[in-house]
Amino acid sequence: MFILTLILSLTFNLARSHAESTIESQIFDIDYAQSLSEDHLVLLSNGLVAKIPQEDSDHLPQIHKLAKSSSMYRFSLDSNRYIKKFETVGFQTKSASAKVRFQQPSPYIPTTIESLAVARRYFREARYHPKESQCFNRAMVWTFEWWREHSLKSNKILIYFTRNYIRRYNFEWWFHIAPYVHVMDNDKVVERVMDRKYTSGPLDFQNWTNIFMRNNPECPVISQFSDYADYPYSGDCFIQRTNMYTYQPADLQMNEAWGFTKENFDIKEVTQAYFEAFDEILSK
Amino acid sequence: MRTFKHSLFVFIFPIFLISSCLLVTEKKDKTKHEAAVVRIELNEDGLYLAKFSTLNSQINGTIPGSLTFSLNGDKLLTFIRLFAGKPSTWHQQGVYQGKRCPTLEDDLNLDGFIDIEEAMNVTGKMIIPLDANLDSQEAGENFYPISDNSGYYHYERLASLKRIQKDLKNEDLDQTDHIVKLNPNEELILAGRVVLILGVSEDTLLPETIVGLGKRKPYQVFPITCGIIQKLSTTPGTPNGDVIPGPVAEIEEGQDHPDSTYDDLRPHPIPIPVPEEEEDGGPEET
Repeated sequence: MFILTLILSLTFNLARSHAESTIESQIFDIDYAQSLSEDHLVLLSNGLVAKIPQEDSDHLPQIHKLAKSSSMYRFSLDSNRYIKKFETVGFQTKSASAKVRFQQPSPYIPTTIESLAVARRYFREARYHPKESQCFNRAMVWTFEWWREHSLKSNKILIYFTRNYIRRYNFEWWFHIAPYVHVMDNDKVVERVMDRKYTSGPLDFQNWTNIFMRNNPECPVISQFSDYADYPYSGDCFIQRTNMYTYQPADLQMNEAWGFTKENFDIKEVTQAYFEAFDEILSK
Repeated sequence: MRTFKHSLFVFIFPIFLISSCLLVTEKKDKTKHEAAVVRIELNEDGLYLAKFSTLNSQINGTIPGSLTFSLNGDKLLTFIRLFAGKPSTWHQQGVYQGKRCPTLEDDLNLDGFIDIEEAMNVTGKMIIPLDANLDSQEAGENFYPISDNSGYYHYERLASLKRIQKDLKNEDLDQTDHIVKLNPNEELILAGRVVLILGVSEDTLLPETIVGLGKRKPYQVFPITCGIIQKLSTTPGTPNGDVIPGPVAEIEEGQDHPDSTYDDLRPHPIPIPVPEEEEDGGPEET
């Protein structure tokens, strides 16, 4: 298992130095360079970190303006994730199911899978597509299908990469999300991440974060989004647990701000997820 | 005898005076050195955080956000984030003299809102404008951030703490505006100071009792969040222990079964458009 994980993590690292690519996304944030030797980082809503070199700072005001819009953009990136060009694709509306809850939601109790063997069986059922796709779309399809086929109430885990880490290692993501489940193992319930894209089986949290983190640090567990967002220069990473209905970090930000809570799958998001991650349409 | 005593006095007194002066000078030097040491030590390296609490929530609802200072020697990195304010809104932001955020208790005209005048009765005037350049009060030229269409913005600047401190000791060339320098014997201590964020969109309906500030209109300087800067001794997060947080379900007989809620929705491959066949022209009739 360890050797397979190592091979997969190497593959992940190699896969990161891909050729030119085109990405469609909104802009989540911009991290401006603090010195002449640094690039400006453009954090995209899909979790990718694109870059603008210092010497190209003339384009910054334009990108800055884009960041204020809810539009979707198509970015052409070179092999080092520098933005070569961008164009407007369309206007992304917020999820129609977003609404403020004023009542305490009913507690979310995830299913306990009876054994690791069963968890591995669910893992193998998860779709795999070799194309590059968004982690939150894959995670949404996997959890939706486990619910539909097995009534499995799973969870999701997010790993946030701090700006310290992103700059130090020129890392390309600011977050990654994957499902995880409760599993009975040797008379004890354990948590296992089911990330079909990057692992060959269920993994504990530390082995899963080690795939993405150099030097295998222990990522502190946080319970609210602001514990990551308010500490951009602290440590290298944070992890946060959430339920299977969460789509992206924005859900957790809204949960913290206004108590926004999801108690069902948002079919618009699930439909979007099938389309982007697996080239399929969810329909009657 | 009197003459000797007098002579002795005349001889010894100046020595006493000189040595006293030396002592005083030495003490002054030491005080100056101590002051320099104290000034540095007043702002320890590390992280400072001001979590924002919402002001006038009846206008904006709850607006989460914060200011983070990262101080490393002379390098001061400032990071501010604000979520879900008004869209495309200019936000004046700054560190103020005072140590307390305003509350409804400070609503002097009892209109149910805290305007900038009522806020500054509590917070005092601004000492560090968090604008385009923190190194001096004038350098940033009041370029403040503007939120995006969702009301979110993020602000980040690197500055020299020494330059900020030096500027705060310069002469205040305009004592009528809302920005002040520190008093001559006052030091800049970050911890404990108030951070105030102002501004709503122009189309926000505000009562006529809300006032502006100088040439700024009421909506431009309407207080929306406030926080107190605190030195952080810890960072968030806990190690992931063995105990699973939250409820853990029992394994139930027959729990593995399909759910029919979404039975009517099935994934289908995206149809590939079939190109239209061209019509065959055929031979011309003769």
